[in-house]
Amino acid sequence: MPHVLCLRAIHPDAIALMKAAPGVTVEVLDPVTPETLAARIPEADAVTVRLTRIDAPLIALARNLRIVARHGVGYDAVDVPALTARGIPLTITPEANAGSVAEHALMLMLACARRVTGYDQRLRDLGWGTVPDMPTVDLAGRTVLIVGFGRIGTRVAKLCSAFGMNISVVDPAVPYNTIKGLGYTPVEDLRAALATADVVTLHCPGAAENRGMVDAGFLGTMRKGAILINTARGTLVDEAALADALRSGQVSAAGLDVFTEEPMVASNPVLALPNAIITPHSAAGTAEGMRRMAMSCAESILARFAGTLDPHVVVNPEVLRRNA
Amino acid sequence: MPHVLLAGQLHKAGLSLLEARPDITFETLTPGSPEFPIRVKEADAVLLWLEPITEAVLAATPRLKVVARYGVGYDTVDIAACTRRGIPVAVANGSNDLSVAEHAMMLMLAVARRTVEYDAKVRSGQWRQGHMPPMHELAGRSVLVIGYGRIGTRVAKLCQAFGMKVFVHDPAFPTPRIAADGHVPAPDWKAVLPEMDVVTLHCPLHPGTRGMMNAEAFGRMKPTSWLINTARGGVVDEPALIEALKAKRIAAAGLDVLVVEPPTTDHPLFAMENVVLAPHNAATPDECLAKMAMRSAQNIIDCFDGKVDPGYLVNPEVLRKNA
Repeated sequence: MPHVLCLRAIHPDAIALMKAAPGVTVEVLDPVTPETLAARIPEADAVTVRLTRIDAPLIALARNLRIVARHGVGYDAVDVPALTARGIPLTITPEANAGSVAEHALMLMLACARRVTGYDQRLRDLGWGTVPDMPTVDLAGRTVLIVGFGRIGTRVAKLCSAFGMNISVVDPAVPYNTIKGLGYTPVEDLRAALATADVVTLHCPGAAENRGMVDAGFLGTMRKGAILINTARGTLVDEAALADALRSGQVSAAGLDVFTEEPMVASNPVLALPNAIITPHSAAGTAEGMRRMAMSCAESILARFAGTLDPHVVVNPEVLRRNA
Repeated sequence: MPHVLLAGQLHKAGLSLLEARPDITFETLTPGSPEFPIRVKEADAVLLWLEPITEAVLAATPRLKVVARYGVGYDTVDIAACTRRGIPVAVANGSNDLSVAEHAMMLMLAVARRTVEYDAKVRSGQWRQGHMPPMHELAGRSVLVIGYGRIGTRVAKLCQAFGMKVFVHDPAFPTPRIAADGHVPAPDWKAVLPEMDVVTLHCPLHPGTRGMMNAEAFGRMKPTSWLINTARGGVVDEPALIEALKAKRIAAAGLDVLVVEPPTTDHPLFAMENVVLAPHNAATPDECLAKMAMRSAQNIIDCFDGKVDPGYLVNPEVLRKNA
C-alpha cells in the first residue's frame, strides 16, 4: 500500500486528494529532524519536500522510495544523481509558482520605484512629503533588462510591457528571433545592455555557472541609479558588492527576496540598508501559489503510482525511459 | 505686469516657461506658508498646492484673475465663488494620471504581499518565524475601480494585465463603454461590494463622494478584502475604516491620502500593521513633477494670453462669461 511522507505539511486540499486515492496513506512529518526522518523515511513510497535536504545517505535509507516531489521549482538541496542512480524521479511544480513570483518581482520593482518601506516608516514617524534621498520614479518609459526568459521571466516581461516599459531580454537558451518576435529587444552584449537599463531583474536558475554573476563588475556596468530585483537565487549576487553599490548610489534601490544564506543572517551586509526592500523568500508563498504547488505535488505522486507521470515535471526524465 | 504667486517650489521645467516671459513676474513660497494670505493679495494669478481658496480669500484679493492647481484635485477651491467672479480655475489634467495609476498598483501589490510588514520582520531578525501574514496573488481576484477617469481607466487596464476581474463604477461614464473596455460595469457599486477582493478609489472628492466608503460599505465587504486609496482622504470615513480594520471586517488597506494632511499628531492608522502608508506622494516622480509644472505654468500663461484650453478648466463657463 503506497505511503506518502510529507516533509512538513502541505495544503490540506492536496493531502485530501492523495488520501482519497484507493490504498494511499499519507503522513505529515513535523518537525523534520535527522531522527524523525531516519525513523520514517524507510516506509515512504513517495515524499513531498519543501526545504529538507535530500542527500545520498537519506536516499539510501529510503528503500521503498519511488518518487520525490519538490514543493517548488528549485532543487539545489536534492542530490539528483543519487536519485537517478536508483531510478527515482524528482518532480518539481513548474507552473505552480511562476505567476506568484512574477507578481512579486513587479511588486518589488514598484516598491523600489516608490520607496514604499522608507516612506511608510517616515510617515509613521510623522514625516510628510518627499525627501531627496528617497527619489521616486515611474516605470513607464523606462528600460528593464530581464535576465532569464523562462516561465517567470516571460511573465515578468508581459507585466512590464503592460506598464509601458521598454523590455530587453538576455537568455542564451532562447533564440534571438523568439524574443524579437514577442516585441522585446534580445540582448547579445550583456555589458552594453546593463549600461542602458533602468531596472535589472533576475530570473535565471542558481546553477554553478551563474553563481556570483552580479558582482562588482556587473554592478559597476549598470546605469548609475538603476534598480536591481532578485527573486531568483541569492547565490547569483555578490552581496558585499551589492551593499557597496547601494551605499554609493550606483544602485539606487534593490528589491531582494533571496539571499546567499537563508534564513537571512544578521551579518548580511544589505540588512541595514534603507534602500533595500527585503522579503523572506516569500515570492512563491501566496495562498494561491502554495495550494497550486501542493496540488501539483499530489498529482505527480498519484500519477507516479498509476504509471502515468508527465515527463515535463520531471527533473531527471531519463529514469522514466529506463523504467519503461 | 501680471504677477504670479507660486505657493510651492515649482519644478524647473515649469519655472523656465515663466522665466521665458519677461512680461510676467513671479514669486515662490513654501506650501502652507503663513505669508500666503498676505502675498496672494498682490497676485494676478496663484498656483496652489493645498491652500484653500474660499469666498473670504477671494473677497480680499480683488486683483486675482487666475486660480491654478498644481495637480488635478480642486476640493480646496470654492469653484462656485470663483465662477461668480469670472475667475478660471485651471488644473494640470493629464500630467499625473500615469504616476498615480502606478502608485495605486504599487500599493495593491504591497498590500497583497504585506511588503512593509515582511521587510520589518526580516530586519528584526525573524525570517518566517511566528505569525505569517497571508500573501495573495492579484491574478484571479476581483477589483472594483471607483471612478473611471484618466487614472481609473489606467488602473483598470493594469489590473486586467494582472489577470484580475475588473468591475468599474462611474456614474458619469456610459456603461456600454466600460463593457467595451472589457470590464464589468457596476452602476450599483454597493451591490457588488460583497464579491470584491479589492476596492480602489479614483474619484474626485465632492459632496457626493465624501465619506462614501463608510461603515455600511465596509460592512458589505469581504473580511479578506483590501481598500486602496490614492484619491482623497475624505472619500473614506476614516473612523469607520479604522474600526473595519480593527474588527477585521476588511483585511488590509493601502493609503496614499488621509483626511488631514499633513497629519500633525499620531494617527490610529500609524499603529496598524495591515496598512501600507504613503505621504500623498503618488504624483512625485521627477518626470511627473516636470509634466505637472509645465502644464500648470502653461495654464497660467494661457489664461493671461486669453487662449487657455477650456479642457484644463474646472469652470470653462467663465470663458463665455468673460467674452
